[in-house]
Amino acid sequence: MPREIFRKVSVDRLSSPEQIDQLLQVTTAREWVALIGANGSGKSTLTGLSVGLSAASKGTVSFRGQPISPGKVFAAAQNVALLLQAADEMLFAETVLGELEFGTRFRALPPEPVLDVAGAVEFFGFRGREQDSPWELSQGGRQRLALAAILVGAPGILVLDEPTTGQDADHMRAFLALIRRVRERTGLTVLTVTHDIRSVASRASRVVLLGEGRVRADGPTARVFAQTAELERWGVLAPPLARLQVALAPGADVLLDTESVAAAALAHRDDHAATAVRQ
Amino acid sequence: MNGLLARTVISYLIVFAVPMILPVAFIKLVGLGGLRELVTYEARDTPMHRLDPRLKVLYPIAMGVLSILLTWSFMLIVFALSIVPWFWLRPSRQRIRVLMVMVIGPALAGFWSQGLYYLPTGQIHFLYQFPWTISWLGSPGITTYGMVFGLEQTARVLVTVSTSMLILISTDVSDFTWAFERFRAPPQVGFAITAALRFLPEMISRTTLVMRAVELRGYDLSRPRWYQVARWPDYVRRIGRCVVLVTVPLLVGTLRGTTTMAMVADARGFGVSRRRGSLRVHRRTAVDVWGYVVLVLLVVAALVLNHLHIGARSYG
Repeated sequence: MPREIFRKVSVDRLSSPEQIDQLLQVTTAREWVALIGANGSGKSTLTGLSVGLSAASKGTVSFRGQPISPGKVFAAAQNVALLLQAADEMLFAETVLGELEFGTRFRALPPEPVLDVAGAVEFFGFRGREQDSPWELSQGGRQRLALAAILVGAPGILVLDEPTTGQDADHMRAFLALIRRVRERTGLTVLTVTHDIRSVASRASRVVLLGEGRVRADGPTARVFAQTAELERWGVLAPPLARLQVALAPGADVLLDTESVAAAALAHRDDHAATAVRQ
Repeated sequence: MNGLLARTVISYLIVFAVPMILPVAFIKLVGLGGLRELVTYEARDTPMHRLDPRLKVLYPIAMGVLSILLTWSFMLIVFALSIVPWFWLRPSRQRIRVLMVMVIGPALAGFWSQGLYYLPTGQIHFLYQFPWTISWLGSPGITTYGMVFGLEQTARVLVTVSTSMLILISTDVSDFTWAFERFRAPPQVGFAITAALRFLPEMISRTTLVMRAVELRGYDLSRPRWYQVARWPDYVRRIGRCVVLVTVPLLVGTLRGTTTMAMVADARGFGVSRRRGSLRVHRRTAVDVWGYVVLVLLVVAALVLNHLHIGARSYG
């Protein structure tokens, strides 16, 4: 089944259907797409569309061929799991277990859920804390609980709205590692809306740059981050490592982790030394 | 018999049409987000925004007093006067829509309820007299006198509501604080009013966010269409249950907001000296002077007229 969720969509602020059409129709299983762009570029509008929080003025928003109707958020939420930036606002129950069972009180679990309640307790590390209040967990714990709660069932796409905002490096790394494990276990496509370029550079397999409601760049992370001028034009600063490589060797894809850059630099130095010796 | 049945149906329609229409109109046209529009400051540069904040604080109070003192025919003038500043403000279309619902809704409710239940002494002229089949409701029918009376009462309330909303939309909280400072009110009063004014829109935004989160967690809050009558009771039940669900996150969020506000107040040295440290000072203009003159003239005119028993409401 294709995982396309937008087709020829336009809303008042996103007035270019062809561009938006290109956006997510090629999301494939296990792909990690990062949606980046300056404030007001249309990222949140697209997030809202994906779960029926807002309506498209043209085109259709659908998942696996089923239209996502505006206003029917609870129905869309069965397919699209959206984790809000304010994850605390997504917790309502008295206990951790109550949170995980919350969704199952209103709709039956599908025969083959991506994650059931027991599996979520185990996978997200809540064993022994089932009867604790969610408010006794740390901030990171509450975010993990909200994530676990929206994944109980059979969603096909996980949408993360600014998931690492306000987190220190350790928490950010831990959260991103958790998302990687979730992908490995569930096969979910992940769509991250973020300003945190470091997290995009380290994890996303594909980057979509939005600017004034249109897609300005779309492709593998290494290729998009090589377009530093285009990124800057639309209010996004590429990672320093990428800018350095573009300054040294413009036009090529960039390496996004320090180890790879160091290895490449050392190999280049050895080549250079060998050439010098030969001469 | 058919006549009785038809009259009973018409009577039920008259009695229940308004209570059925108003909540639907509110949900469809205003909603929680719309309610936020009513009390949120709109940063623009209009004559209303530039007025002396003290004058703006006094304006709803003065108009409220006038609406209490004067009879209906004079009240119409006050009501018309209270609408004039809205033309200077030129609120956004979205806000006008919300305001219209919030004005027409109570007007309709007052008009309808008083028409049903306010009965004059002596000869009663019924616009429509109900049959005995709905006597359990306690209203013999709908009267013109009651409807006009309802309209009068609503207009009196609306004068105060409309003028207060006008001020809320066009006055920044720092201007409010300055006005209270100049009225020699303790800084705590200004701070409390500022906090309250900020709290309401924030509370509405947070409620909207939490309601969205509830839906994202799989709770069905989808609204039935107006003609799906059988589904409305279930919708109301779901909303009722949702209120219970959202109470905890709202309470936690509010308490956190309060803590943050207290920390901000401490960080900015609130209460260190008896007077406020820095305030945006408003410089009086000719328009302000004219505003004061008109307001004072209106109040004095109302008091004089009242004293002369012209346009004065009789009590008892």
